[in-house]
Amino acid sequence: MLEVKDFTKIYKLSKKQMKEMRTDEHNKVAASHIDFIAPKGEIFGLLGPNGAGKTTTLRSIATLLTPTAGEIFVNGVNVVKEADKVRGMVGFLTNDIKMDENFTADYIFEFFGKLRGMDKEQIDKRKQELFSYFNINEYKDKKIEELSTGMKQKLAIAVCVIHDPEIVIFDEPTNGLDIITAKAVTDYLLDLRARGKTIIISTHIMSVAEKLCDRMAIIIQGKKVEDGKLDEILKRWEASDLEDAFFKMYVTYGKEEK
Amino acid sequence: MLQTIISKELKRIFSDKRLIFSTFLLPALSIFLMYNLMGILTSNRLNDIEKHTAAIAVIEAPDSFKTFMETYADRESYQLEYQAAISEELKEQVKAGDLDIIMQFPDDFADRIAAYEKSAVPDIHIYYNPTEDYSRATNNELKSELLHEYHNHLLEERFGDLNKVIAFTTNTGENPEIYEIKNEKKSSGFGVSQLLPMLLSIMLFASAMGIGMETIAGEKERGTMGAILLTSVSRSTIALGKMIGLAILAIISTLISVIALVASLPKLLAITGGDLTGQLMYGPMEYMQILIILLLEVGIFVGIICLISVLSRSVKEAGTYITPAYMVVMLGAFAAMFSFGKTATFMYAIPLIGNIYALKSALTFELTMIDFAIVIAVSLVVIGILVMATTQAFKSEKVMFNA
Ligand SMILES: Nc1ncnc2c1ncn2[C@@H]1O[C@H](COP(=O)(O)OP(=O)(O)OP(=O)(O)O)[C@@H](O)[C@H]1O
Ligand SMILES: [Mg+2]
Repeated sequence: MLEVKDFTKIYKLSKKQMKEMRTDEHNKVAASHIDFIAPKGEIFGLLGPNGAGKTTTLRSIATLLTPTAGEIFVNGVNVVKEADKVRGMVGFLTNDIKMDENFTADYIFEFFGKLRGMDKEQIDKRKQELFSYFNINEYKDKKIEELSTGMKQKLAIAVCVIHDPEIVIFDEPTNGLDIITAKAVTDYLLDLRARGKTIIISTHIMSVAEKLCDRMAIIIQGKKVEDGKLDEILKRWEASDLEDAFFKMYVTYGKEEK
Repeated sequence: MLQTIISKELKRIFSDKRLIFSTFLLPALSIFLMYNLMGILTSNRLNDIEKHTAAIAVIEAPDSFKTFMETYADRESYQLEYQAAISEELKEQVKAGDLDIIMQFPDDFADRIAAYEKSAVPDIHIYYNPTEDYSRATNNELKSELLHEYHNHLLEERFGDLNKVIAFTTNTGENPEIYEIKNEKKSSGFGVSQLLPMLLSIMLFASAMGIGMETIAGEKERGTMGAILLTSVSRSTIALGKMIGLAILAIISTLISVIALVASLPKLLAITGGDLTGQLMYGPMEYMQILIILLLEVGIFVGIICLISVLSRSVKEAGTYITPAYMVVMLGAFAAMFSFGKTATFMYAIPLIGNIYALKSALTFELTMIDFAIVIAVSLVVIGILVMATTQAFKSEKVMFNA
């Protein structure tokens, strides 16, 4: 289970960033007072347009960023105070964290296995499971740079869950994938759910959320504007589908950024 | 954990033929080729000058000179052309290097020699071209050999007995080398100590710079660092692993270059004028000093490169910040190379520069134990600070995620 309580993240902008973002503000509020709970055995969706603050929130859950205010608990463990313990329980997949392309799939898998503190036997067993699940065996001795985008994403997922984490966080997991690979990824998420894991994904594609998520939270410009189950949300906004509901929310809460 | 990270750093290089070539073989190969080429060219040049037949235009040559030349022992080395008058054309030939020397006797040379008690001493004008090796060499040779002999020949004619006008000579024995009292240690270390600290320091820095920017700034830029930060491995272990990996690679690369250097040493010494006779005079003491100084130097270089790399957002940015550090290393290296005499103790306390000077002093047997201790102490402090700063940077989310 994951609990996010009153989470706020403010980035301090360097002079260079202020210039790049054409702003006089020294701070960028990326997430403001966000609350949600993602229960075990469910897929939780974090939804929002570009720049909403999804990646910021997920990175903070994965201990890469420290919240400016608020608290986050992973299975009851505070992500700031016991970051090491949390890292052992979480698997985090995001597009801007990549694998070193100069190595073979096999080597990278073993490398991360070792960094996760696994012994040779555990690594081999896990490799067998995951590589055959994702059909990587055939490509395991190829350098990652030679793999297709789909195969890279499958390997990234295998590496991400190498330590069989209780909490699995996927940031935009199907972005840029063809429908065959996208289906393999969503099938795997359903598989993880069936095994009782806590799964959090982010997406800006409403149809993906509709099909996959048991529960969701919608973030617009750093603020949570809605959360709950799909049918509850549709009922509250008198909407025919999630996209419709989202547009209505955006009209109510979204304001043009300067 | 540490070992896993180090071994990945090593594997990155060793599993890629192109990287092996560019990090290890290319620098070594270029050193070897460069020095051999330089050596061959210099020794060719020296031989060439020795063998060269000097072309000399002699103006208004007196008969006594002509007869002297007919019996002069080394006459084969000169090709004389007797001319009546000097001309602009002849000077042009000297300028162009086609003619080595114009030797102009005054027109009343013979008369003045004969009436030496009443007239002024005649002056022979030797026109030469200082920018041409042949011309310069011939000019020196003429004065010290040919004209010297001719001078003695005239004196002998004048006084009958040369001993009447020569009071003494210097060092004309059979074996002039017996008068050379040199410090064998110093003379053997001399050529090497000039070049080696400079070359080693520059090579070390250059090889560490290339790899270091790639493995740290490059990983940040490509987003591959994040995956490691997600594991429970501590940030200090990651930082240390990267630094040790880099240090190992830099040392291997430098060792290979040193081998190349040693292989071209004979040629190298031919250029710098040192000799090889005392080559093996370094004792365990010197070898230990050299090794320790080099290791400390690697530590400082790696620390600087890693710190800058981790603070940079991209390889390009790292490059712009590391270049000034590289300049300092080069400057220090050149300053050490061209410094003579004893190095002041305070120099050893300057980080980076001190190491280069210490390396030089160790190679010339001049490094005292106190100087050595200062270098070690300063280096260790600097390395400690750099390692701490780098580790701290790995812990900072602002640095790692630009956040
Ligand atoms: N390191 C950073 N420094 C400063 N501002 C940042 C930084 N990272 C993100 N931001 C800003 O914070 C806001 C939220 O960004 P975030 O990446 O969390 O959004 P997102 O919902 O993941 O968007 P996307 O759909 O584009 O991935 C954006 O306005 C972004 O420009
Ligand atoms: Mg994002």
